[in-house]
Amino acid sequence: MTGFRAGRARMAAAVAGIAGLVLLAILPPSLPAYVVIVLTECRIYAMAAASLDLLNGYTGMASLGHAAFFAVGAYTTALLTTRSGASFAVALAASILLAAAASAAVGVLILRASGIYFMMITLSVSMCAWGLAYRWVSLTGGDTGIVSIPRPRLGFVAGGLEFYYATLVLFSVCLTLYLLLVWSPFGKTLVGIRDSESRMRVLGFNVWLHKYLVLVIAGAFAGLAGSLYAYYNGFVGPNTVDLAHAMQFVLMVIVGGPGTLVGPVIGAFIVTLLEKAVSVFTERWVMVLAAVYVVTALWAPRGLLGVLGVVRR
Amino acid sequence: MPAAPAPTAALECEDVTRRFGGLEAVRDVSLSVSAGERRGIIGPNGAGKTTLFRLISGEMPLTSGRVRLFGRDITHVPCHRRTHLGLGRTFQITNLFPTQTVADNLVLAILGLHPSKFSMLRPLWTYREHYARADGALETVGLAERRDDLVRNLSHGEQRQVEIALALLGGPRVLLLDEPTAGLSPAESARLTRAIRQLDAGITVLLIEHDMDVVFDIVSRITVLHQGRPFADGTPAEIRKDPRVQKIYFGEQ
Repeated sequence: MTGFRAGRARMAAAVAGIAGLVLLAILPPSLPAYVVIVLTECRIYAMAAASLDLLNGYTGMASLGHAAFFAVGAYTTALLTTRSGASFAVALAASILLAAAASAAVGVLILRASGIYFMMITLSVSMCAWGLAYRWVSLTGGDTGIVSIPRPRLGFVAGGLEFYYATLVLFSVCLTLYLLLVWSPFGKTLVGIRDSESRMRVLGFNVWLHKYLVLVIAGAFAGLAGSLYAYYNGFVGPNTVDLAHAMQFVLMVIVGGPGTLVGPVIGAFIVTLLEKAVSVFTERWVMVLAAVYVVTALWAPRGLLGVLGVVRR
Repeated sequence: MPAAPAPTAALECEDVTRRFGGLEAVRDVSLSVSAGERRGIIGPNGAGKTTLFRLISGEMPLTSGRVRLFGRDITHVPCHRRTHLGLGRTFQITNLFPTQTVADNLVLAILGLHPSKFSMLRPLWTYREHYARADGALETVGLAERRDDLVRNLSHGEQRQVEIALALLGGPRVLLLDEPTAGLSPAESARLTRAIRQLDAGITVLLIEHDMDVVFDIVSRITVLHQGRPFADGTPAEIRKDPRVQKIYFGEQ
């Protein structure tokens, strides 16, 4: 019975997801340029938020440091394109690799902690990354950041839509890989770790290794999103990695529904669109963000998908 | 059936000690369990029984001493590797994956010893052989109709059965059962006792249990722990008669 229902829910989600992607693919030529730009931003954040969900929702590792790996990707792309005129593919690959390497290096350290201590140590990783971005002026440009990052020239679509479609393709690829990962045996082991680490160990799992692998994978995807963000924004500065930014990813995951992948994607769209909408009326966007956070924490701890009853836990 | 001592013991503890600051939770425990033996570990609350299990399973490092599994020194082997060497364990406080279905709980137990646990691109539900094995185990413990229910929606008794099924799916040669009947009704407890008695005779079982009927039903030999130390050792009949054991349980009359 539940199996049938879960099967139907899965079908519905798949249909909705494909319909959403198709809409994102066919609508843009008839949309105002501003909307196209905002949708691009939504997708970039969705990729980052969903990669954080692998840690936060699936493995139960509440990380506040994800913006650091996003920033590694963003700065890598910014530096490579402005200083050595690297191509889109090279910048993208280098950003992914460096972000993965950064999380591999940091992972050795932060995996010594768990629970609330893990949260604190990832928060400090975020702060350290901010400190580096702010102070290592010769590399990062300090507070000025790195400006005039050129949009990639891809030349497969006429008009100003080529970057839009490039991110759409990468977004679809990412989403597919995320889904494969969480559906895979490895994905199930992550959920097992979230539910009971001690049981996993006794069942013969090297829990540390699984956490380390997912940390590196999530870091790599955050680096990819960061790279696209650099192209999208044309500017990368310390604000890419400040506390507000780091918390924004967490909020996207929580608003949508942790441990669902689709939830954080929707959450990223909601938070980003809300920011654009609210910013028209007031400069106090962060206050509104905080209010959303409080409302979610109090009345919808499992996020939007939890409220809709899609999540079974 | 007092098993003849095998050439190498299935499990050997040699002066196993664990200190927490000034407290010696387990002190100089030496015991040798031969292959296929059913050994009971009893003792009052706080005697160090569960700590001893955690030391044997590797969840907690020893302060000093040695643990050997089939003659191999596993003192410094990490917990998850010991499972691969044939050690299995259940928990006194139910320790399952509550947000997952019963079938997925069992499949996780299968993955623990299977290289496919690192597979990242093929959906788990296409691993029919894993689910077939899980279904087989469900038939054995009589939970087939609960297959697709979330574990947290199971009754306590059913969760205790899943607890044992998980340990058995690892194909253990030495199985540590930590109060398997804790919180069960007499009927459920009797059913579980029967299931444990019917385990493959080749499996060495160490059983912590407060319910003396269960202990006397299952084991051939009992080690009594008291204040972290081995206090008495003998057949169930000997232990039952031992006045010193009665004293530590019931106090001076």
